[in-house]
Amino acid sequence: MVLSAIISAFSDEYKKSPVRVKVLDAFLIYALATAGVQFAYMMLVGTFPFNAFLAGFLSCVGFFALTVCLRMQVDPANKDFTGISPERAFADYCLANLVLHLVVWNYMG
Amino acid sequence: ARPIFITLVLLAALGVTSAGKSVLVLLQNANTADKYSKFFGSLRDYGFDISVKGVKDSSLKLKEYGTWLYDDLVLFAPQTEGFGGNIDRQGILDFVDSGHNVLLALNSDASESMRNLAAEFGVDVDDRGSKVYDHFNHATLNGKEDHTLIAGGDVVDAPVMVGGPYKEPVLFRGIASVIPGDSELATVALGAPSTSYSHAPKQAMLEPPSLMVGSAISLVTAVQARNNARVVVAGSLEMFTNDIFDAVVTVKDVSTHTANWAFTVTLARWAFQDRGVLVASNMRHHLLGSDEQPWGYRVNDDVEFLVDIVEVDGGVPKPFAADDIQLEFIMLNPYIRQPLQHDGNGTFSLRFKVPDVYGVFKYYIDYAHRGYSYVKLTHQVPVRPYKHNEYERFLLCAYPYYASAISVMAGFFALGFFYLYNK
Repeated sequence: MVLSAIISAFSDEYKKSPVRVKVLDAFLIYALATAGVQFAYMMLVGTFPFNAFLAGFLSCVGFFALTVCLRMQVDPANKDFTGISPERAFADYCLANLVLHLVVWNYMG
Repeated sequence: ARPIFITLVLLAALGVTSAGKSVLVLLQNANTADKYSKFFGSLRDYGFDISVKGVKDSSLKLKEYGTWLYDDLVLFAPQTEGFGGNIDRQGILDFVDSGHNVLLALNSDASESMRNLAAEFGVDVDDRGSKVYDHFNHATLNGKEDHTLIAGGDVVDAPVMVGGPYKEPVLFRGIASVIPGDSELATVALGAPSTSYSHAPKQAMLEPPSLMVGSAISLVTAVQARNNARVVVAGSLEMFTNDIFDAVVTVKDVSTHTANWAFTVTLARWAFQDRGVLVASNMRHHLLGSDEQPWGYRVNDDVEFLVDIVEVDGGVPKPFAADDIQLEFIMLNPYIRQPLQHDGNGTFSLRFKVPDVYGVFKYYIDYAHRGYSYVKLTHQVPVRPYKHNEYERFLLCAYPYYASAISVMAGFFALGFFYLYNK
């Protein structure tokens, strides 16, 4: 009973957040799902090209972390980042992703 | 032709080992050389240069100014307590240590010094005065039945050492010896039949295990030292005499000749390194598909190892053929241990894959087939790991990971598109 009340309260509040934030959340779930698929595959076939597994897995995890940071900076409900414009946040995000994917493909082998 | 040329140069350079044909024979009395004229005559026919001297001759010497005067030594003087001239027990041991060979014959009156000399070579001779008796496998010579004239001893199955299977018996009348059962260097060339025993007639009978019995008794022992020098200790001097060579004896009511002539001459030739000497040369290795000798390998390389081995028989090298020469590729443990294949021309080779372990490995051959000289070869070869650009790429089993990384990049691209251009 209490659980369903919590869930309905949460989803009502969540519907009020801006579209931008909800799209970022969708991409977060996508990254998480991809990571989960890779992990399940690794459990099935073993860790043979371990560097490839780590590269793929950590590309999802790194993307997740960077997108969370972008969401934190962009969410209007978050008062800590008022001095940073959304464009600045996105520019930082692009740079970080560039470094992440460079490392991922170098380690992929 | 090139490997044979190298081998001949090697043999010429080695000089002493298998080309040695100068023999010093020491008899109790030099005048009795006629008793062994057929034995020495056969050896002379095979190219040996035999000098017969008395064992107490004061001009005896094996070594002069640092060089050995003879290549082989024959001691047919079992009763002698010491040697004349400059020869002594230590001199004989130095003679063997330097690669030369000894043929030592004893009999029941073998002196203490002769028994000690045999003991130096690992052969434990029975006490003075003891004889080998066999009440079931003895021979009757000239009408006299003699239970100490053993017929029916077991000739070792090693044609290179003693010759082919003998239908006639090898007669023996003398003293018994034993060698340790686990001896790596000594072989029983003629073993006593299982019904024989060793006993000194004037003393009380011993009990086993001090009593030497049956197949534990070695009548003729062949020892090959680690430097490939050979020593043969025969318990019977009489088995080398003309009388026994020509004898017609009765064994178990069957009249037969003896095989002593062929047996002793073949064994003497083996002892003087005229038979069964292996020379290994031209050890080489290379990666498959290349001819040059690499400084080392990488893990998982395909390589081939080759070596040429010839057998020298009477000074003539001929290609050796055997299926049991083992090559080890070893770094603390033998990762590869395989027999070499031969091509019929004396070239032994093996193709194998370097194991998936890097380090400093060693090719190791340690061949000790009975009757042949020892072949010991080692060669060190380093094995390196993969360089960073030698790993496998684009593996099929890693496609999901490639796909996921690409999809994350595509996701980032889509996210950017949406973020920037969405109102």
